[in-house]
Amino acid sequence: MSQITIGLIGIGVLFLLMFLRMPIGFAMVLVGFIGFIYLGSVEGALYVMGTETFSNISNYNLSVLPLFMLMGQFAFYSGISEKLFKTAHKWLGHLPGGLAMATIAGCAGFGAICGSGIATAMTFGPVVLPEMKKYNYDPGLATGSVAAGGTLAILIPPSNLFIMYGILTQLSIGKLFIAGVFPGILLASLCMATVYIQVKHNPNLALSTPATTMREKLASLRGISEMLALFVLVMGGLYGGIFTANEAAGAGAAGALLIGLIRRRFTLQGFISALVETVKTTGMVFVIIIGAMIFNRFLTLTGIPDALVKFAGGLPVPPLVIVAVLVVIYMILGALFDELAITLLTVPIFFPVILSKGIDPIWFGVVFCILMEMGMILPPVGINVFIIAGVAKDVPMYTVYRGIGPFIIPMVITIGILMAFPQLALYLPNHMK
Amino acid sequence: MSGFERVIKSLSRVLSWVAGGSLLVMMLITVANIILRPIYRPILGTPEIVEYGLVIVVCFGLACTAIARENVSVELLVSRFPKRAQAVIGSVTCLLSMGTMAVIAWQSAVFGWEQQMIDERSPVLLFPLFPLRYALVFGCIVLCLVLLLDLLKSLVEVVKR
Repeated sequence: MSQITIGLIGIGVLFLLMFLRMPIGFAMVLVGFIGFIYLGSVEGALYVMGTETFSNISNYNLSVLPLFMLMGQFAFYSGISEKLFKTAHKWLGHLPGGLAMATIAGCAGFGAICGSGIATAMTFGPVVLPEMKKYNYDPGLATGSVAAGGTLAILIPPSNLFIMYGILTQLSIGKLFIAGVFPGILLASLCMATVYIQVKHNPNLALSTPATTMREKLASLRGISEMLALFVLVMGGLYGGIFTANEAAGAGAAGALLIGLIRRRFTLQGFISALVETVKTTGMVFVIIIGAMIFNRFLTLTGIPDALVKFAGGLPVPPLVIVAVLVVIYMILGALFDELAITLLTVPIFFPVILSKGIDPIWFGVVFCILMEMGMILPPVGINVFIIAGVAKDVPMYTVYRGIGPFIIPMVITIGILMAFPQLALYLPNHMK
Repeated sequence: MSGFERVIKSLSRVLSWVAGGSLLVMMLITVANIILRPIYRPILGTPEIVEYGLVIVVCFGLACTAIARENVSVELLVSRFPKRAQAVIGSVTCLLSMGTMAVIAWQSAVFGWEQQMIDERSPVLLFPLFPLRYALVFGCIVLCLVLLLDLLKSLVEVVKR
């Protein structure tokens, strides 16, 4: 059997174990370990198990992940999310589908201080769904807008996926973050337009809320001051070269904590919960990271990544065709698997292909994040759909999927615009210190 | 089993508090370093302290992640199977996960012992490194106990008529 065949068998076994509900991280460790024994040696495999695990959990660069997660948790317990939604509500509520648009705007705002699409959907679901129910919103539109809005957090910096992509490819996390700003704003606007067009077309989908006066609107702006302060602290510090991504994450977490303390919104219970929740998510993330790293060591032995680069490099097609093929592959993978696991497993394989075709790696990172956003809501395994269906217990899963369908369109359009105008993503990072 | 379950859950809760404290230290030392750098001087070995903290956060957090069932898995297929089939598959995957974590624990113990013997230390602050390896061993063992609890529950489900 050739090494590549063994690699493909390994990938097959990994898929099988995943579908048998083995936690993805453990499954990757197991297959990687056994594959390494088969292609290398027992001693080598044992050595990899010891070194690879420890080198990841003691990696300074990876400490940025829990610190940004902590920032999101502190921001949640400081009540920043509710205030964001209230402000957006005041400004957009009277428009057709205004509450759903406010939900997306609020999610985008929270995405600017939280790097996880799941956490953002979880944070906003309980806040916005009852409100939309009150105004007779169609359950599909209501749940769809939170599930889709939540995913914006992984394109709008800070973003856990940009962090992982940056670490795997040794690109600057700061530059990746900055590259996500304009595409993130564009996508959020297009998602809001999607709501507007739907409700304009079928007014039965949602009732309008009473219009607010300009004075009320202006007064509500105070609600976003905390989010803005945190965003400016983190992104300003990064963009201005004042601190590194790790320091930005630490400063952001401390800033969110400080806001909660100054505004007296923190209870001791909330404070402990924020810490423990972050610890749990960190454990989850690192199990996947360790698994993917061990599995990747095995995959490298099989020679599959090299073979893929040679194959793609030899194809007489322009780079955009390669990107189009990757878009399709990632849409399929994203529909089936966890986004972090996909990132860790496939970026080391596909990234050399991207480079060999002369595609800008930062630009591709942005496209990649939008694809992962899609993966979070595409059936059968759209994690954000599951989460929102869990929050809105009276709404069946297929209703959420029906509601989320239209939001795929703005994501595809954004990718199209990025292909036509790469500068949209690259202008800011190219002008960074 | 309820006694065993109670002990494991209390232990993992305490560990998660320690991990949370470590996370807080990571945040504070990072911020202190940013503030002190321009006005006085940077804190020596900040990255090392943060790395130390990260190891504690992950190792002591593994068990409570597993108890909260936060480890990502694909529900698509197995959740449609009959209860007993689910339990059988659950027992097998649980056993495989335990075996995997046990190997990591074993190898970490081997590395820890070697580091202790040669007295390997961190480059700047000269912290001994072996306790971190043992923290990983400990974290993996507690995780294995959590998985053992799951395994026992699945087995009860398998033999239940």
